[in-house]
Amino acid sequence: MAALRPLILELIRHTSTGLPEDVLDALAKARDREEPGSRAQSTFERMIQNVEAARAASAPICQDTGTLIFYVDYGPEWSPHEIERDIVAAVREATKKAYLRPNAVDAITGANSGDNVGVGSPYIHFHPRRAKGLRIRLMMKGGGCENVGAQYSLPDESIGAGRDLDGVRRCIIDAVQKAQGFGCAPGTVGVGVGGDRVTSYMESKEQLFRPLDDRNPNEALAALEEELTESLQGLGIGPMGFGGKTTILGVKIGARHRVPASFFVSVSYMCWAYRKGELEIKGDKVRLSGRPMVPAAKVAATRTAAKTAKAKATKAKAKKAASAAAGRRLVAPTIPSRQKRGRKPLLPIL
Amino acid sequence: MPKKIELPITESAVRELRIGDEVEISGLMVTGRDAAHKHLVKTFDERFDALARDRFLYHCGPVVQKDRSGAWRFVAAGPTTSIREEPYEAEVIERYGVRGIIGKGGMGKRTLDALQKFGAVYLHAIGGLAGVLAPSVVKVHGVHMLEELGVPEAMWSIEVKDFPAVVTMDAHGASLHETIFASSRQVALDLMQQGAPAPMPASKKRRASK
Repeated sequence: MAALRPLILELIRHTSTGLPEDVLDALAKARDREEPGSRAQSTFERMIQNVEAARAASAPICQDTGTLIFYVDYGPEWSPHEIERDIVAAVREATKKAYLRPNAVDAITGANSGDNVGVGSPYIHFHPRRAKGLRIRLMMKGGGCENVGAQYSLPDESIGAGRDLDGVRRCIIDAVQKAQGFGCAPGTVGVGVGGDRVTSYMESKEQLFRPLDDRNPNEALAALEEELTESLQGLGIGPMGFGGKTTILGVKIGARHRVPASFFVSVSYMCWAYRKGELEIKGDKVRLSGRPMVPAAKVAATRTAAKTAKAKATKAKAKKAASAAAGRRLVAPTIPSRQKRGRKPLLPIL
Repeated sequence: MPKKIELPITESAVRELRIGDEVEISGLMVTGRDAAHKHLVKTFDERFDALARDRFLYHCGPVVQKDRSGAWRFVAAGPTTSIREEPYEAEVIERYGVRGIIGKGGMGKRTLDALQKFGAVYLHAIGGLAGVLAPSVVKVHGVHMLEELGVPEAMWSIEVKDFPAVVTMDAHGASLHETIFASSRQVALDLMQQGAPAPMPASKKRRASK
């Protein structure tokens, strides 16, 4: 039986208290692009300092630890029921440890559940797969940036958007301009084209799991992504909307089949504090956001349950011990310092 | 160089601030967001009045932790989006004599008018700066209505030291948000005219819809 819960807890902690490398690189580049001594540059400087401070203190980089969105791809040896149970337990524990703010409130009364667990919260997408192993991806998306998301139904005369790629482009420009700094600019823009109202937005969120520096396999979309990533900077919205040369970190576009009558363009805006993490388990190998992680207890998959009652009892005992040990001794993957890897340090050395 | 601000602050000192000014704030202030604002305009809250008059109100729902001695500590303390308080803020400024609103994203016309009329400013904190901002909250003096409103919504009386922010709406009717919205709208309309980068050939169109 897997000691999955402590691994998910570590995934949450890791995701809440730091940023992925691609995002950090993009922020550093943005800082270097701004005028020395400008408000924009000092804002980027503080953002980068913040990430380092949060990582060092193991505290959330943003107090809005967001909507917890889990994407689970599981092999035949895993039980989704058990994965769900472990995710929920880990979310409760992460809240207790202040890796997460209690962020689930009753939709009508506003009463806070206190532990991030509620109706539809945390949000878990399950995808069964043939290959063995388990992958859990986590995105933490704050409310400020979620609120500036937009969905267009084309044609949209108000922005001259027809049912073609040019129309899609107009929607993205319009959405980013209207978002201003409200979504904590510079953000990354996920776009879903096609689908229905639900799947169109879903596509836009899934696009946000792509690394910032990848290339869209669809040539037309790749060209649009590249062009917009450059030209949208000209809006001059800048970090937090104070004005500056960087308005977005990237644009990621995906398309889904649609019914002939509908043409939706959905834009999800992800704040600069772009928190995403990935836990991958294959046999007893565990990787956290691409780096090997060494759990103290050997992680085995749930596989088939014990055959006899006796085996079950011993197993339960072993699991308890294993998860206790794992809880104590789990270590996050060590990230070699940027200098060691020959990259430009994020902060000037004083 | 950021200007240093000590709380409490006088009306004339607040009127000296202009949009674009970078400031560092020290002294006692209070947090409040959606539920608090709703409550503050419904009744006159004397306790809040004592915490907020001639001081700043911070739109923040913190992550807090109680240490072993039972004292509260801010673990993460960045700003939340301010525009949600637009229906209430003008009245809160008038009723409680608040001299500054700290938040993110800026606010609307009614608030801007109230800032001018009663002598107050809107300051933009940097969103997502929980790790840098939390240490600048040096002490949590107390919390008001924690039971009723819950952790993020309660009104926390905090002491800050060199808390960084930028003045984006001043007491003279100027708003950096309005300026940037207008200029970026013009750029956006021009960009839309330019059209998509490369026409999508028919062969690629088939692949795109796969």
